[in-house]
Order: sequence, then C-alpha cells, then structure tokens
Amino acid sequence: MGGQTVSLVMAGSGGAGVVTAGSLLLEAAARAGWYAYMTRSSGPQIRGGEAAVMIRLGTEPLASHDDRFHLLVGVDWQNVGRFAAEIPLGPESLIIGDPGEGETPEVFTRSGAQQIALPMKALAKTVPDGRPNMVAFGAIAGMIGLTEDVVVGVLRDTLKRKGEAAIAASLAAFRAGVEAAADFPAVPRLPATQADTSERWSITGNEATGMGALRGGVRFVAAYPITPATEVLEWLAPALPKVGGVLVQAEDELASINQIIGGSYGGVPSLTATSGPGLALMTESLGLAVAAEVPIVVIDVMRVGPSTGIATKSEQADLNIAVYGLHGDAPHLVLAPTSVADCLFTTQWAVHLAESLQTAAIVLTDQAMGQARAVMPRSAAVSFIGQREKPAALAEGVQYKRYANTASGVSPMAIPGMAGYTYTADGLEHNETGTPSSQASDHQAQLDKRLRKLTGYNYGDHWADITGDEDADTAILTWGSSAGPAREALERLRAAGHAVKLVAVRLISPVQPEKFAEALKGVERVLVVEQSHSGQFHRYLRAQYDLPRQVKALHHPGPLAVRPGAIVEHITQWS
Amino acid sequence: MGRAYSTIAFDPAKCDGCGDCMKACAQAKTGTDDVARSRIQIYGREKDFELALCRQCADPKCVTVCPAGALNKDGTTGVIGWDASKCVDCLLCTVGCSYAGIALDETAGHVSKCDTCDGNPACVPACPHGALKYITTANIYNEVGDWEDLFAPGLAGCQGCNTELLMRHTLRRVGPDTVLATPPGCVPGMGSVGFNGTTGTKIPVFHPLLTNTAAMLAGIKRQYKRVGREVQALAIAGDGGASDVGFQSLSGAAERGEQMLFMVVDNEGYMNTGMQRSSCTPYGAWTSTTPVGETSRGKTQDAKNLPLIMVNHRCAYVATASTAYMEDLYEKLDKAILASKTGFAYLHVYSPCTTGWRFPSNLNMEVARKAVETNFVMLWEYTPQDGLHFTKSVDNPLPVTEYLKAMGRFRHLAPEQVEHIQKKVVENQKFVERMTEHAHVG
Repeated sequence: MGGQTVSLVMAGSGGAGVVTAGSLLLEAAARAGWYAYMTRSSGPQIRGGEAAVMIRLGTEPLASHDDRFHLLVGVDWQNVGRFAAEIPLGPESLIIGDPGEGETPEVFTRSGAQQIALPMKALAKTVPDGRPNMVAFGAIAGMIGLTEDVVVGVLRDTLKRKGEAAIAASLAAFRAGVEAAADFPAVPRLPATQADTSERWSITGNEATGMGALRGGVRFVAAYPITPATEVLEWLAPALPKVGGVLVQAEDELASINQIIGGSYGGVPSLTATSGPGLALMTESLGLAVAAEVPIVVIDVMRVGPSTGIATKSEQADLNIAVYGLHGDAPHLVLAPTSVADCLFTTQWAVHLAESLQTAAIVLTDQAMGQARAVMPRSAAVSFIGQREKPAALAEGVQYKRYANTASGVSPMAIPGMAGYTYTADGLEHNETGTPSSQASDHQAQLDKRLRKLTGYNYGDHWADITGDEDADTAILTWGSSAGPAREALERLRAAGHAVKLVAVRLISPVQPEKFAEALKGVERVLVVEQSHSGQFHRYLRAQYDLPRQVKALHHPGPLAVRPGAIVEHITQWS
Repeated sequence: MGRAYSTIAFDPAKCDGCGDCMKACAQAKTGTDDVARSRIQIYGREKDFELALCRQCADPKCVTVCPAGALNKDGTTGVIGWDASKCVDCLLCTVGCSYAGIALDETAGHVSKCDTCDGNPACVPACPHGALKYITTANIYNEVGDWEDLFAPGLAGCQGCNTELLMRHTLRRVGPDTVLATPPGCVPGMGSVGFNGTTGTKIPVFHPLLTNTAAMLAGIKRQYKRVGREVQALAIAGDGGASDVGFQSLSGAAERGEQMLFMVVDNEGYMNTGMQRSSCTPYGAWTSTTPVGETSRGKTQDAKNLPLIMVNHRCAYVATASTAYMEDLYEKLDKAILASKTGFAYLHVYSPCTTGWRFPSNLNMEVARKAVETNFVMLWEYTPQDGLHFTKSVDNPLPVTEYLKAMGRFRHLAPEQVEHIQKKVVENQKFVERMTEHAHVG
C-alpha cells in the first residue's frame, strides 16, 4: 500500500525447506528496513505434501497480498500445481524452476509468465552440505535488492546452534543463488533504507491474539490443540506462568470451555482458543456462560469448513455459528479483528467487554490472519483490561442477589467463598438470587436483563474501522481478514480519483444500528466483501441493518484469498 | 513369492566367547563335550567374535558343488540336509561354503553341519548373553506375504513410520471385507484417507470426527448386520483420539459390546498436529504443550493406562502389542478379529514416533523393543473367560534408562524424574501382575 512492493512465492514439496527459506527471507527483509507480509499454504498430509510461502515486501506497511505475484520460485514442482489458484501470475511475472525437477506445470505457464531455469539442486551440490532452498533464497535476495551483509547477520543468528560449518554452507549456497540470478530479468527491486526498525514487530496474528489476551488480563487458559489455532496456545503456554497465570491442555473442547467457565466463576479472566469444529462442540457451554453470566472469551481461528474441511487453509464461514449457533435466546458478543495487528486490540477489547458485561465473547480470526506473519509498526498499547463489577458490602439481613435486575443489566458478581455471598450459578433459568425458576416472569426479566446489558453498553468508536472519503456515495462493507485487501483496494480507488468509504466491522454482535446508519449516511451503494460461499456476512447485514438500495456482494469460499484487484474491479465497473 | 525360513541370528556385540553354545551343540549332536565337534563355532580371542555356522543359504554353494547329491535343501524347513549314505567324503562342500558352515568332523570321519535341531536349536537357549536368537517370524512372511497389501504404496508418513508398518500388516490380516474408520491423526495424515485424487486404502474408509469414531463405526456394523453381511468393522485411532476426546464414544461402544475391532496406535501424543501432549503421554516427556525450560520439565502427570481401563469394560478381548514382537502381534490380531465377531475387541499397540519422540528413524524397532525389555510397556492379553495374562513376561527388565536414553524427548530428565519413571514402571508391573493373579473373570 503506497510505496514500492514486490510479491513472491517460494514453493516445493514438503521437506524442501521453503518455509525455512521464507522465514529467513522475511527476517532479512525486516532487518533491511522493509515491511513484510507472509502467509503460507500447505496440504494436510504429514509428508510429501506441498508447501508454499507467499511473501510481499514493501517500503510501507502492508495489509494484504497483491493481485498477482511477480516471482514464483519452484524448488521442485511436486504437487505444487495444486496451489495454482492461490498463486495468481500474469505475463509480467517470472517463474524460476529447476530444470532437473521437470517441466513447470502448465497451470502456471498458461499465465504467460516468463520462465527461467535455475539448477538449484545442481548448484547446491557444488557446495558441501548446500541445500537448494538456500540457492533459491540467494536468487530471490539478489533480484529484489537484499544485500548480503543483512543475510549474513540473519544466518549467523538463526543457525548459531548448528555451528560455523552450517552457516558457511548456507551462505555459500546463498551466494551461488545470487550469482546465478545476476542477469535474470528484472522484478521490482526495493530500495535500501536507513529506517529505524526498533519500533517494529515481526508477529503473527495468533501471537498477537495471545498477547491481547495477556494484556486484557487473562490468567487462565484451557484449550485443546486444533489447527490453525494451536499457535495461540503455544505462545500463551510459556507466557502465562511469567505473569502468574496458567495454561491447561484439556482432553477435548467440551473440557476446555467448561474449565474456563469454572476458572472465570472463580474470579479469573479466562479464555480458550479453537477452530470451527471446536466451536461447534462448545456451543452448549457457551449457552451456559450466557445464562449463568460467567465471562469467557473464545477465540475461533477459522479454517475451511464444514467438518474437518481443509484444516490448514482459511475461510470466513463460521460467522453464522458464532452469531446464531447458540440454543435459546442467548445474546452474546461476537468480535472480529480486521488485521494481523488488530488481533491484539480486538482480543484485548473482547476480554474487557466479556468481563464488563459478564457474558461470552467469541472472537473470529482466521487461518490467513492467525498464521500470517507481518513485519509492521508496533501496536500502540491500549488500556483495556478485564474488570468485573464486584458487589458492595451488604446491609445486615439483606440477601445477595447475583442476578439482580439492575438498570444496566449488569449485576455485581461475587466470587465463591465471599462470606454472605453464597449463590447458585446455573444454566437453569433463575430468579434474581440464582435459585432455579420456571416462572414466566423470571424468564422474561432475565432475558431482558441479559439483552439489555449488551445493547445498552457504549462500545464507542471501536465497533468498526471506518476509513476513506467521509462523504463518499460508495462504501465497501467487510470484516475480518477481508479487510486487508479492502484497505488496499480503497487506496487504489482513491488514488484513481474515486470517492469511496470503507467500513470494516469489528463488533459483529450486538449490532449497532445507529452507528451503522451514521457511518453510511449519504452512501448510495455498498459492496459487501467476504470469503464465504453463501455470503454469510451479506445475509447477516441484510437481516440486521438497513442497507442502501444498491448492494452488491463479492463473496467466494476459501481457501482463495479476496484480492484487492477484484474489489477495485467491482467498484469501477459498477454502472 | 519365494519362501522365507526361520534362522539362527548372531549378535557379535553380545558375545563374550564363552563357548557355551558350542558345548550345547556338541552335547546335543554327539553326546560329548568335545567342542571341536560342535556344528556352531565361535572364533576370536577377546573380542570381535565371529560365527561359523551354516546359513541354510537360499542358493547353497555346498549343494551345487557336491558331486554325489548328498546335500539337499528342504523346501519346507529351508534346512540343508546331509545324506551320509550318498556322501563320498570328498570335502568339496567345505571349500564351496563361504561361512565355514560345513566342516569335517575328524572323529566321525565325515562332514557335519547344523540342522537347527529340527527347529529347536540347542545352542540358542544355551547362550547366557542372548547373542543367539532363533528368528521364526519368517512364518508370518510365508503366510501373509501373498495377501494383498490393502494400503497403497508411497504414503506420506514420516521416514521410518512405525504406524505405517502396523497398518500394512493389520489391513493385510483383516482383509478386504472391512470398513475402516480412522479419525483425524497420523493414520489419515499419512494418506490412508487418500490424497491427491487417489485413495490410499483399498477398502472403504470413513473419516469421522475425533469425538465419534466408535459410535459411527457401531452404526455401520449394525447396518451390515441388519442386511446380513459379514463385514469387519475396524477402527484405527490415535491415542489422543481414543483416550481424550474420543473416549466417551469408545467407552460407550465397549460397554454396549458393539462388534468391532478398535485398534489404538499409541504414539503417546498428538504427533500429527505438532506433538502436543495427550493423556497417554508419559511423565517427563517433552511435547510442544509440555515444554522444557526454566519453569517446566516436560509432562508432570503419568500416562493414563487406557488398555487397563478397557479391561474394566470387560471387553470380549483386550490386548497390548508392539511391532517389535510381530508374532505376538499377529496372534493377538487373530484373537481380536475372532472376538470382534461377537463383541468389542480392543488392541492397544505401542508405536514409537521418530519425529515426535526425537530419535533417528532407523532405531524404530530398537526403541519399541527397549520399551518392552525395560517393562515400560507390558505385553498382555485379557478375555473375560481367562482373565489377564502376560504374553511376554520380562523377568529381569533392563533399567528404564536404557529405554529413555534412546529418545530426545527425555533428554532433559533430572535424576529424580528418572527415578519417578522407574518407580512407576515397577508399580505398573506389580499392578498388572496382581491382576494376573486374580483373574478378572467377568
């Protein structure tokens, strides 16, 4: 976005080392003062599958991948053709392949991209212990303008434990790549910078989510491993004990959500992280948290569904279950970060809201966001922290009413063990004291109260990220990781003279009709952008909000990412 | 396919040259203590001992060079027999053999050679160091070698994957009239569910969820029973999918006595998704969720003993097995298949994971064997009729360090952690021993 960028893909069979080389490239680019955005794609099988890293580097912060890649390097072509749809190329693109590894698949060459042969395997063999992925790394580095001194530093730091010989071997293979690519056709070359990189982060969405949880005050996490959410746990497992917290790996998702309900009932801000199948298992207990008014946060790093689906790839199709999946009338919070960086803010805010409103909050991130690594400006610290309303001292002879029907709907919550505050927390409908009740009036009162506390709360400006031209008559409405390409599309459109506004909704539920109407004032047409087959977000907006008369929906299922160019095209060709 | 034969194997690393094998042979074959007449000869002085013994070659030079037709290979036993009535004492055979496997017995005045004592060689049990073994697994090869491998070649498992070995053998044995249910884990991850547009398994596969494998399979089996078709219902699940999230449906199916064979491939964690701990992960083991660092030294709880829990369901058949003991495994497979015709059969197979346990892939069998030799893993079987008994009892187990040191996942262990593990091994052994004494007849 703005500035100069270069987009490239390194692909190969599992074990070819493309993820390793990609990570080194990202680190070197960060040290060179560039911004970076890297996603990865892989098949579900254990070995012999395919792997690709998609990397975009730039002189300004990046929100998304580009429409096409400038460069595709295939360390080998085994099964890589399966990624073709995820790796758009054009006639201006360049494909580098190893002639010893066979023909470049037709799915790539039909793009008209220019093909160049680079015998990576043979060149690697000229160096003791040389590896083809390092030759590829060298070729790319040379072509995009990454200097050797930076790479030497990265290799030294990352291969320190493997010893001098390993560093020398990697460096020699790297140099062989640089040399071989010296007279290759040009791809965009980024300028050297003297930028101060001390205020930048290299972080994934899943790591940012973990950090947001920690900053929000979460001190108890129970979870069950599931792709692609596991990194949230892996980040939190060593981080929590340092602040007096703890992570427990549960035996399944039912156990993990009920453990955190228990932890939270005991007074500790608690969270779990999962993916779609896990969220499905948790829905019964989400209802319990809503009914018993126990604050919890559930992170859903969405993947392609339904069922096991494509566990390693991204889709925005858990919106319906997150919003509507609970049984009974169970108002709760649903939030979605709008970028890798925003995983931190939104998670932290979700903890704050769940604690303040004593309810369940679902945070919808996805694989593309959670497993993407970005080199970006450090996020500003925000002060949101989980704070629950505690009961004031009781007058003599007054019974504590855990579910007191207050004006705000939020009732002061005692911690079990506080003298005089004994109560039943339960999923049975109850009266104000918590005692089970099947009376219609109690049900009505508690339903009203549980809804009122959410709808009456002032969520401020955080409900959505609104950017672009204030008085535009065209708006893009989007959410989650689709906001990235939408931001880039917005910039391109505005640079081309179109007045457009972007509304990336962060607070999915409860809905904010007044703020929404204010944001869309003067807007005559809306493009809804999302990554789901059925257009879940579009339908949700239709059900909940008044939309302008002219509405178009750009939606397709995962794992194909929404491209900025597609959004631009929809807007510019709108007649 | 050619036949394989049982054979006497020699491990020079364990031999100290004591000569007890030669004494045993001389006794058995000549009734004397004259070791010069033994048909097995150990050469060498202090170390680097070598073996002179008939290899019962598949393409025996001694047989080809014999001008009298006195030497012949028996197609059934594989033993090369010597016929005294035809021998002309020319000794050409002794020149032809590269292994010094046939030599002149000066006392008898004829050549003599090993005949494996009709499949019960006297030398093997005589060796006090276990340097000699009589390997009889050739029978498995002869029996199942011609059966169809119901698993496609070229699966996507890790190099040296033990589970792949187990699956190939298991599917061969259960045969084509089988429906395989395999929940998320290494078994589908290596391609049993088929990737790349082709299927990995040549029988119908249902890939259910982690929570419901046993329940789903019970439904399939009942449907086949309703329509009167004899179909083997087989589940191959990981330890995570069986002991954690899938336990409820496993327990329910076992309690109802659903007619199926439920095999658990226990690699002691979620190895397919990046090595997270499961409730079968042993104490002290590193996993990505029981990390090793300043505040953590691996898993702090002991493993859940899932097979013993299944015994307490009074299943029709419960057994533990290891791929290092193939004959034992095959016997148990046979019994489990039979039991699954009338009830719930449960087979718990320990399956070392080169990737997750961090050991070189060529040590797979060694790790599996050491687990048993140290009693870290015990091989037993249970039926409601006969109770529980060991199928391979290890009376003088090696210290557990012999097992632990083979793997990176235990490298960080402090002495008190090793002590804890050793204590638990002894405790577990005593516990199972007590169960063998009080037969659990249900």
